[in-house]
Amino acid sequence: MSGIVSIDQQIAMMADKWPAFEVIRREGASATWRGPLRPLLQTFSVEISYRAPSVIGLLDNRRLQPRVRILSPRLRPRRGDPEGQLPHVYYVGDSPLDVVLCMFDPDSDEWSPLMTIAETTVPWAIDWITSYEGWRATGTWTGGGKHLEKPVLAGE
Amino acid sequence: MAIDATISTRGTDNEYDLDIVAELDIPEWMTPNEALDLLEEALKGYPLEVVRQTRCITLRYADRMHLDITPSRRLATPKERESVIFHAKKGEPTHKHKSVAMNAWAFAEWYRRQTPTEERFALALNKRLYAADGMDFAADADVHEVPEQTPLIIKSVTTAGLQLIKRLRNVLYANASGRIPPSVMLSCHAGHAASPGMSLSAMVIRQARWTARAIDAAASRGHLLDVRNPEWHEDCFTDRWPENQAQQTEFARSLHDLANGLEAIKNGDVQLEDLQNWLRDYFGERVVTRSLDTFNERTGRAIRSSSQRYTPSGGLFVPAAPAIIGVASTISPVAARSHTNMGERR
Repeated sequence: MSGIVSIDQQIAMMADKWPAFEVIRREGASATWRGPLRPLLQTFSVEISYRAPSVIGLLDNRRLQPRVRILSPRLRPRRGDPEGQLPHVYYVGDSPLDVVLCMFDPDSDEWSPLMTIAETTVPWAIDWITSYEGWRATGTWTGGGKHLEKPVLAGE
Repeated sequence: MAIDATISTRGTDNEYDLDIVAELDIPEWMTPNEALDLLEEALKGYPLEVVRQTRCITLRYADRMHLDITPSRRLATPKERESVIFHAKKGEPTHKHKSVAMNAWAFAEWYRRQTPTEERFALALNKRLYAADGMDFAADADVHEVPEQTPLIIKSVTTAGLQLIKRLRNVLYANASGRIPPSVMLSCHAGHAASPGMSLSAMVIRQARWTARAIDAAASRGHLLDVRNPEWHEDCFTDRWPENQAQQTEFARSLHDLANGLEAIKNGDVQLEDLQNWLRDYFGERVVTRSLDTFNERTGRAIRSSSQRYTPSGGLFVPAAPAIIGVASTISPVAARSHTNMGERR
């Protein structure tokens, strides 16, 4: 696709590629999906919220990016782990479990509103959950990535 | 060994039991004790520990490998390799010594016919086995083109499943001192249960149920399990185990538990972390830890190099060979693409 992918296009693409995901909220250029992902042997209920911008302008990807939460089963933090109690997340509330997944470098061109959630966010969430399960089981996060020491999820 | 299903021994990861039959040109009148004496004498002076057993002589190697050499005498019967082996337990009265029918060669041939090479599985599995030892063969090699130094060790899902069943048995009996369910009996059931094209988990369930149900059937009639060489009825694989009902029903229960657990895992929801605890009970701590570490490294490597694939239900898998990638890419809803996990560390 060329140009900003509209929310209608995002919804259509999600329905085509990941039909198990349902739109549970739709308001203007915003949509929220819920659906199951089973990367290994556990089904995770995942929620993705996104607002398609009308113009990219000077907004950066931190503000624009889809927000991905794991609804169930509850994520299991591990205190004192060198990767952090939950690796590769942004903390968006007071609870240590109130997190959204952080799956791309907002300073790179890995993701932009020109891309579809179906082809980026969903497969990356599968990668994240796979890495998370491996980390919980073995203590080693093998899915790669970088850590930021300061919160960067703008707007929070 | 003739069916390539050798695994490490009871409860350990680096001890191996190998069995060979030594066909001796000895007269019919030689007693079982004399036949075993003869082989033991011949092995004296061998620079290893030589241990006389009831039916064989064991050589213990420094690297913890055991080699059991069973003397045999070929019979003058029309069928190839029909033989007897010798049973002479130390301390038992000689009237209890006996010759026992055996045709391991014919059984191995039968097993091979029952378990034809499954090319895609064999290439994928052996590539991984060799990779663990730092050896590679071309991922796109045809099954017939695998070079001599990397022969296919495991050729079928049946044999891989048999190895796991034997592994389970070894873990179950790691601290037992008596006889354990014999490998040849499990191999025979595996040969009967063989069904090329099955998944490995389905095959393990099938073999576990096969043996468990055979025991259940025998027990319901008040009998002990009786498994015979399909190539020679006189050759009884269960003449020393089970010795009683309790032994066989305990093993059957463990096999049913394994099958029930695997079915629940396949059909239900379980996290890798919880799965590993269950697996450790059945297959041993070290091997499960190592397998999960390897699995985690492999999936991570695939994610980092964007070589993973997805299923429409949100599953992730790592293609093992180009042939499988060809199949996979037709069902993968989207292609993998590179991304960098970020986030804050707390």
